Amino acid sequence: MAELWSVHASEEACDLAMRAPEAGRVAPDEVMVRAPIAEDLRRAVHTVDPESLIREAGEGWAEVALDGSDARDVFARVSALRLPDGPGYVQGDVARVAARVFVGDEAIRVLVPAYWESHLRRRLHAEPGA
Amino acid sequence: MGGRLRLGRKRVPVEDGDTIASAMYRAGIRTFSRSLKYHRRRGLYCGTGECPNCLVTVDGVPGVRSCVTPARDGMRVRREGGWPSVERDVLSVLDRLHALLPVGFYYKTFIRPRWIWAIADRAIRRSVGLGRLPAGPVGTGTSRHLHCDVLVVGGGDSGRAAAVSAAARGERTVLCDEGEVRDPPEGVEVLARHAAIGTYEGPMVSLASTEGLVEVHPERVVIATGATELHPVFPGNDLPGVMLGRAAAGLVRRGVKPGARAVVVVEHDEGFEHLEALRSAGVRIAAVVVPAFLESAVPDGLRTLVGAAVLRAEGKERVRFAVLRDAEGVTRGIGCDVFLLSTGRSPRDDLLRMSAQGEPIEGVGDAAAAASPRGVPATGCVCLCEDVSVADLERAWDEGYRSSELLKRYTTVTMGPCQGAMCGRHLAAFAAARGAATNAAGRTTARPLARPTPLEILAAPVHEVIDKRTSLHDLHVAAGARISWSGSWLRPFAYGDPEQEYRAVRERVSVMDVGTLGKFLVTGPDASALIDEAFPTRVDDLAPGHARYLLALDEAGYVFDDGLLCSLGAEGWYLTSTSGGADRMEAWLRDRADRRGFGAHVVDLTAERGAILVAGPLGRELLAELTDDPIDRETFPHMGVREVTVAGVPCGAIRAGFVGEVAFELHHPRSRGPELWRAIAEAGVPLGLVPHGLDALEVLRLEKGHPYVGQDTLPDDTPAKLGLEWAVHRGKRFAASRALERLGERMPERKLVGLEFDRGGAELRGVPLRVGALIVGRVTSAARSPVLDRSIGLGWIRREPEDPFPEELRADRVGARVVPTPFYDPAGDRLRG
Repeated sequence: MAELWSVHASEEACDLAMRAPEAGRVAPDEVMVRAPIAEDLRRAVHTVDPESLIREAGEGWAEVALDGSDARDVFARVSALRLPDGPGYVQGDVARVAARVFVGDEAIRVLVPAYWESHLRRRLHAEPGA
Repeated sequence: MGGRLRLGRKRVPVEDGDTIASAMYRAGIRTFSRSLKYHRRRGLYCGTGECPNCLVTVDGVPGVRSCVTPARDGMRVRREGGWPSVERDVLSVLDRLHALLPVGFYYKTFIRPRWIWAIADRAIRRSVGLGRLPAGPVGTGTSRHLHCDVLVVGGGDSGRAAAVSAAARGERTVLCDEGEVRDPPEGVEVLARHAAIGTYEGPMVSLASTEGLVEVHPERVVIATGATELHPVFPGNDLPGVMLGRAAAGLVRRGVKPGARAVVVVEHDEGFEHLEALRSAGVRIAAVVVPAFLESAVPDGLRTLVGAAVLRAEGKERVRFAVLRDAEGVTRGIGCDVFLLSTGRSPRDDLLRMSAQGEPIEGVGDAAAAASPRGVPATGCVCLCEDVSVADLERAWDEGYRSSELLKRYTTVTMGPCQGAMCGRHLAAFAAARGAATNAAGRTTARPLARPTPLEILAAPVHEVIDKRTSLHDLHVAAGARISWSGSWLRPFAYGDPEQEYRAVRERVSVMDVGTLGKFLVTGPDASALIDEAFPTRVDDLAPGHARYLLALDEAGYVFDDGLLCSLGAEGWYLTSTSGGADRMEAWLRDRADRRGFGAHVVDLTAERGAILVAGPLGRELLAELTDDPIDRETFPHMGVREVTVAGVPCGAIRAGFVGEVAFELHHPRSRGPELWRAIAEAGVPLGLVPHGLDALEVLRLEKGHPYVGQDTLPDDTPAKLGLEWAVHRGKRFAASRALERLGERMPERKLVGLEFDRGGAELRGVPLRVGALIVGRVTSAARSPVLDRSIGLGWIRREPEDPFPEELRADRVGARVVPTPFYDPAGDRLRG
């Protein structure tokens, strides 16, 4: 999995953090970033919210990538979430567990808390086309 | 296709295109079932899967709509209702006892003496019902989602047109129908044999099929479910042989002659198609009854009664006469074996009516058309499903149930398999005619399920097993552990002999996977204020590097979880919760932070951090082999918190445990768990290390008198009831302090106590505790303690307000005494060692 960062900060600082590549808004006060966060952006977030917390969060998450022509169909069968047409971020129920979904040009990356990794893989593999 | 289906002992030939009902009808079957309450004969009636008359059990599955279910060779079909059989039903005597069995009789009778209801209840249940549930396990359906631009429900002309139109606009279109879809339109995804059972916000539409459940998420929904035929209400309207036009036409289409001689009532254009179907099948038309405006449409040569009124249908086992009153007022009985009714349409609009306002859901075709006009039912069977007559509605009205909804609830009209498709409008018309207020005379609220659906299909989504696993799961499996559910986690209960595992903890050293514990980091400028406000635990004197027992109380002062609170100094606070309580603990912290506006970050580390418990008198010796960090008693005392590198893995170590021995919880990065576990296990071999599972833990924690929140507690347990007042710091204000002050004015009438039993072990869990014959409590945990050689447990007991708590009890036949806890090492010397 690529680097995964979690930004806990004020709403305004989180707005700023959303400028990071592959950033997803988890909550008004939380952003997940699936890429390294540039130093200048970190500084900017801290400037806006000196109490912000930016931490590496990869240990807690398992990522399953769906790629290929059937990726969207497979995803659609296991989730009510509507994916953006282009790159973007959604979160919600995937295979009946809470998930964060980064949609890229090449793959749909489904992130779940690591303790659900085996469930998610099992469930996705059961889908035709997966 | 051909073949035969089995109907009881009878073999019924099946021809191409047959439904079960058409095959049965061809074989001479006219009574398809018995009515729910009065056991009246019921014949093929609607032919479109709406009414309950033709429900049969097929291959053990009850409630199959035989009129729309294709017949196949080898099917085993059984008619429903009737004892000993549908044809000869002793219980049909109930049809003569209407006066004794009025609507709602079971609310008013069999009340005194009280025991009589148990008998009556059993008798009533055995005499009513539709089929029998299959014995043994049922199948598990699948569940999936489907996204599209347009969902069209209904594969008739209107639905197909809507689907074709949407597809032509480039919209991804799905067309579903509960039956087959002939000539599927190109560019449209067709889901045949998928019944739409409910519309929900979103919009979302649930489809049920024999495979499972499909949750469709379209941008918009087109409801094209058509219309049912009107169900005329008059005496004898439920006799076999009285049938709706589509049922007769369906039989003819399948090469079955509905009867020899028919009286046909036609009140709308579709009725003439049905009339023609009968004629084409060679059925002699005894009379055609039409209103004046349709007189000219009646084919020449048929006896036509213009403006005649249907008075009743007569017959014993099936219809023999249609009794009419002609326009001159003359009553005529016309002999027939088919009394065909084609009197109008009633939109199948339940899916539309259950849609929330503003949802992009539209009706087309007959589903959205106005219902054909009809009169107010005067006499006869209104609800075929529940055997409710107009007389029943009148009685209910007279008893004060004066709205559609109340009439529904009292009489159960509209509550059967058709869900009001046949009778819903009659009910509304009745209420309106009797003078119900405008808002009480409408249709009853439409709710899912729109179509009868097997529970196994509805439950398809929850059949899915969702397990949480720690990073050590595969190691436990490889070690041959007995893995089972503990809440939502899969955890090892034992690796071998639980007593050996227990003894390893008490006598040598052991490890346990406790990665399931909830783990949280609370940081930020107001972190301490949040912790202080959220919990009753004293915070201000907890120095960095130290931990304290944490009790979690809700605002009502009730215990909902417990754990450990670790001070990390400037970095904030590290909290643990029980494995099953992590979600609630997080929600509690976030809620308190939001409500009080604390500037604090709550970070759930449950998935990120694993945890391994090293416990036993040789625990320190073992860890000393794996770390260069100081872990001696003075440097790292009981309830200490340190950063320790063990076998090269950075750990947050807490000198605490649940088992009453020297213990270290090693909280580590999840991904490093397996290497840490292996290193500890390897280093522990010379010390006799054996891992322990939940079975051993149950005895170990019980010996220490530690309750499991959830197992040993009840939802309204306060610290006082659990003997945990010591964990509440009274010198501060916190979320539950007002509630505790209020509760503190009363002495608890129930409390959790330690118990010692004369004999027995875990089997005593759940057993009521008695004083004499009086139940005064319940055993919540029990075990045979190897080290104490006693049977011990926890349980709650209660008392009368003025009485002391009982001390001598019985758990079934086993003597029990209230004793102080901990049972083992009450001074705590071993865990501090």
